[in-house]
Amino acid sequence: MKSLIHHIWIVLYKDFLLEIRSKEIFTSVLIFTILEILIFNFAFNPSPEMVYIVVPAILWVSITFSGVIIINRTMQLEMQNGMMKALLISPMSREAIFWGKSFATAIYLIAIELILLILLTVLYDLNSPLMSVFFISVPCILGFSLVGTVFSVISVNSRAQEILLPILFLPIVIPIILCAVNITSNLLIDLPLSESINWINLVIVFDLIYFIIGPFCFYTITSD
Amino acid sequence: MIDTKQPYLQVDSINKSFGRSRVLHDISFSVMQNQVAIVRGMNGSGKSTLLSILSTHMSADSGTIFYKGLNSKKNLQDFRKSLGVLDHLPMLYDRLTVEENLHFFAKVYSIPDFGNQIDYWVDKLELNKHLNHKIHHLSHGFQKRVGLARSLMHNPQILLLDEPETGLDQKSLEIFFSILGDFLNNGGCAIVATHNDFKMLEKFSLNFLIEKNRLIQQ
Repeated sequence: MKSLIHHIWIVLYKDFLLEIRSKEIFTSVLIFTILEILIFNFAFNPSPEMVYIVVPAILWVSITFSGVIIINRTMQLEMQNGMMKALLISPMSREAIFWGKSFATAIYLIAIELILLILLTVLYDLNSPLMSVFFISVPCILGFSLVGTVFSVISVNSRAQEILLPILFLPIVIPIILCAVNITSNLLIDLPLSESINWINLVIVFDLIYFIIGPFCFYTITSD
Repeated sequence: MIDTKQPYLQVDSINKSFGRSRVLHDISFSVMQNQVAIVRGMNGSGKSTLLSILSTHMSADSGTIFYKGLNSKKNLQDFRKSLGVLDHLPMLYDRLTVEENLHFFAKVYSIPDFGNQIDYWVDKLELNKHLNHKIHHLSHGFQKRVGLARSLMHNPQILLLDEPETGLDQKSLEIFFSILGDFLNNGGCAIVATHNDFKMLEKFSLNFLIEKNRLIQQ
């Protein structure tokens, strides 16, 4: 167990070190997401009553698009120079590689979500419990990252990797996005958390399923 | 104490096909300590596939690999720790420096006191001047040297080398053969897929040829 946690940490640390050195993922995706939010802002211009319906949709559409780019790019970096092979033939377990990559993606997305929430608050003059939205989004983003990591291993080996990932991944992750939009919407209109309990339970079940079967799928895909 | 009677690595009846195309047919051989098995063959004959199977990256359709008499599948973690692999690709992160790459692999292989190990291999492979250079700024030959440091840093007992001489200049080749000679003298064994004659290691060599999917000892 100690060795597993240690190896997950090594993968995470390496991903962040790569990002610090290359600035390829977080910075570019953040700029892309801010532009996305601004385009939505110009396109919708919602009335005050509509804001609480529109904002959750904008938030989660932006996170979904950013997530697809991040997941694709982080896995592409592993495929360069035969790095994935080096990891797979090392004594590190495949669970550690899978969870390490998933957590790295989740941390990028959580950071992006935090910035998006601040931006949306400014743009739409929101007066809602944003910290609750932020904390409740963490399990949604985790589930999103776990599923994404599984599918990125499939897509990254194909020629049409950039288009294949969203085609494979988005239909599977729709339940998480649906839950996330509903939870965010309920929180923004100041409904108590108990109103969203079914959605939250669904997210937790989804996370647990992918937390358990994710490494197994990863193992199967990366074997031969 | 070196036990010279038991094969260090024993490959028993390995078969591998890709779809209908059979690549390896009933491959069996064994390598003792201090020996290097040199596997030659035409392009596409299956040398790299054999090394991929030995490195545990690919699984064989049937057959067994024994490491010090133990089934490698049942002792996978130990077997992987005992392997050092140098492939066509350097297996290094392009955007990280030489030092950061070596640190990363030292942690992956849980090498105790890895600072000294890294210093040792950096000196030995004359990489001191390039320690803070990113991998993509290095020439192919230097990338290969870093790859060799990566594959030897955790003191493996078995080296798997896929055409290791490709892209190396005379100086790098001398360093490479000297390191491989030391490695074999110190009780290691190696399997090398190559087109080179490897005359400098003749006293350690077992020569094999893969022809028509079968391994022939020469």
